Amino acid sequence: MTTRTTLGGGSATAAAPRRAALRHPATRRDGLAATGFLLPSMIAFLIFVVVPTAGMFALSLFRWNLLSDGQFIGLQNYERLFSDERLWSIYARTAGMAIAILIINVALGLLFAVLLESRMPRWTRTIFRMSFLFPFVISSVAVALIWRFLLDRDLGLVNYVLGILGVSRLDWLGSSALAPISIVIVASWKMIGFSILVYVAGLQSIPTEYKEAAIMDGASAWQRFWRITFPLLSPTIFFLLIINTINSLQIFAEPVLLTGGGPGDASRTIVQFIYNIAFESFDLGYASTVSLTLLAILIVLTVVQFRISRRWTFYG
Amino acid sequence: MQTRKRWLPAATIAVIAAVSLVGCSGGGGGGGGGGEDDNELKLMFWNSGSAVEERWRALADAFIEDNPEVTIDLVPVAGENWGTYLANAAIQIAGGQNPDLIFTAVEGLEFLSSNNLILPINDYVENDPEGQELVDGLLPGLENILSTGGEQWMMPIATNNMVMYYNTDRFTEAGLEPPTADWTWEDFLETAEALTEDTNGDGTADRYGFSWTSNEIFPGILPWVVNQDGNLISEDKCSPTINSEPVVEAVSFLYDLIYEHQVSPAPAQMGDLLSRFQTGEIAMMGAGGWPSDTFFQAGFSAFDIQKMPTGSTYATVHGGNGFATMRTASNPDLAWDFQKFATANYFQKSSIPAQTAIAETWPTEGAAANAKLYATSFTENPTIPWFPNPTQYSDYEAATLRSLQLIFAGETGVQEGLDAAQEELSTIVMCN
Repeated sequence: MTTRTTLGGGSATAAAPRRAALRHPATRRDGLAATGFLLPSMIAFLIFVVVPTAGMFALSLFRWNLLSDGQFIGLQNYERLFSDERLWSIYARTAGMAIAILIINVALGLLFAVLLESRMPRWTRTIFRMSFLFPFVISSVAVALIWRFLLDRDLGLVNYVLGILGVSRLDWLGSSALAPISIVIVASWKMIGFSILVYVAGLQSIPTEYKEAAIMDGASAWQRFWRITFPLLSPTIFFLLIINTINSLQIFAEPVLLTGGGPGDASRTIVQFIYNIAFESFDLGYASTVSLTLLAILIVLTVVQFRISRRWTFYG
Repeated sequence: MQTRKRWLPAATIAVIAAVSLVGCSGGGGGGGGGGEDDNELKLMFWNSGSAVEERWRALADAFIEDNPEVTIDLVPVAGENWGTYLANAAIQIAGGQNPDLIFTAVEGLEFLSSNNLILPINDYVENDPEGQELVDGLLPGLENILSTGGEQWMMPIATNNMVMYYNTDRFTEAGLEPPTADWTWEDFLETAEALTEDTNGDGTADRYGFSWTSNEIFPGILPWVVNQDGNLISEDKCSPTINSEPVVEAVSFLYDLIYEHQVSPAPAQMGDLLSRFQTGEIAMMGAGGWPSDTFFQAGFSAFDIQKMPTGSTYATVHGGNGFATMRTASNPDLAWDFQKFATANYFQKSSIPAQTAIAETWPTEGAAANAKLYATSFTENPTIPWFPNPTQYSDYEAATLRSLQLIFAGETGVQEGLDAAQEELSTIVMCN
């Protein structure tokens, strides 16, 4: 009882100065200023994120084909999710492609960034940096169109080169086995420049004194990377994991322009499928429902990644 | 209590969003629209190529010259094929873009009419002798194909019939005589085999006898299906027939061209096909009237045309296009005048004119030696009895092409693939 009184009294006494501080004109002014600075982004977030998401949820309760009046159908679209085999097979394929893209961008991106930061002539480094970044800054449509010609079964440069090496023509865009691989190659080629750019910035922010001290202590290159670079780079890796997970699950232009999602659904991604339901089948309600499943999956993945990251990220 | 308060704004937003979004949908026939005044016409069209807008502008200017009080706005809409064009047009219409006239072909008629978006022209035709005269002058089959349930939906401007294009240089190199009008599938196969070559000796053909388009049904498999006395949907357009015997036979024939006879590569998009035909990589391809204009623009003239080969029967497979009047048009009478003007004064160039008298001398530039076939294939042959254009055309076309893609990629057998397609299409092609 005494303890409780003391604790309660303690928190009451701690809260009192806080309330007093909040009543202080200077603190209140700071609070108002902070709100003022945040307000534009809060309004933008409300208009462009919260309201459309709420609208999407509302739409998921309707059957609506764009051109006629909507019909309220309750949770029927949600029930349909469980019996839609095509949806889950497309989700599985999207996940497969997304994991491959994620690994390439995060792991290979790190390797390229470390190589770029290693000893090489300044001009060589500039050329490499620009060539890695170039695909990232050009439009996905242009990238996909270029690759469509490169990967063409009969006229493509890739098969021409493989032919010189004695490999028979591969149907990169027309076979179920190779079409998803082509999407992974093109999407990774397009997106890896961003990962490299961020990694390079992260590597350059690591103080050189740490590495110099490690060299003095006789640490090998691998030990320096694993004991110094990797821990200090872990927040960057974590950031890229989140961004690449979200981006790779939302690929759209590459499958649309390279393969049309085919053959069949072999390279169809979930975002393309949502587009197909909305604007080919004109089923806006179900398209909204599927969009919400994607939103839920992305939120869950991000939360899980945040939780796990506490164990391995190091904010020195 | 506090939790409930926190949820209140979100719930309010959801309700507001729901009400506004559903309210936005409007009715098919609702909402004012079209041009803002009675002398303004807004034309929505498929921007399917670089010269398309220029040609519609020329047509609009010619109409304005006859009707100086009229102004015309053009609304271009993108699309890879008719299905995607119609989908994009529907999005624009739902977004408040209300044209007076919408360009469509037979592919879009059921979709537009069943959604109550367009006006039939029966009354106009009956009460307007000039209109009746134009209907009488149409190529045979066009009036029939552009009517559903007793309603005629538009005065066609042009049409495309499927003919076989062949590269004359490739025929000369192979020492082949041009195909004759009575050639059969067997003759066609022999010709395709003679035209297929392995020029670099790597054991794989690199110049093919024939290919077809993968991104459209009409110039793709439809002529082969119809010439085997089949169709892709039932005559009442209420059920798919894609796994019926004639379709299986036609698709098997095409499948064998790739895998058994190896005279065709996997089908490609129409744009790729036209390029490959001009380079000689593909010696024959099926298409409508549009390559004629494309080839003329490219300065390519080493081609001629012939009827599609006869299977168990022969019928000319054709469509028809034009501007249909929207129900929201501010001045439907003016829209009707435009429809008449557009059919009587041919500007489109890329398709065969709908009026027989004009079609007989088409095209006027870069004509193939056998160009008269564009008109005579209508006037001297039976035409397709009904077009597979169900209400949900965009969805139907996408699902059909997806299934065919799997078959022609060798991922599934013909019968198995068509059975799966039939099952999927049964949920799309239906009548209430």
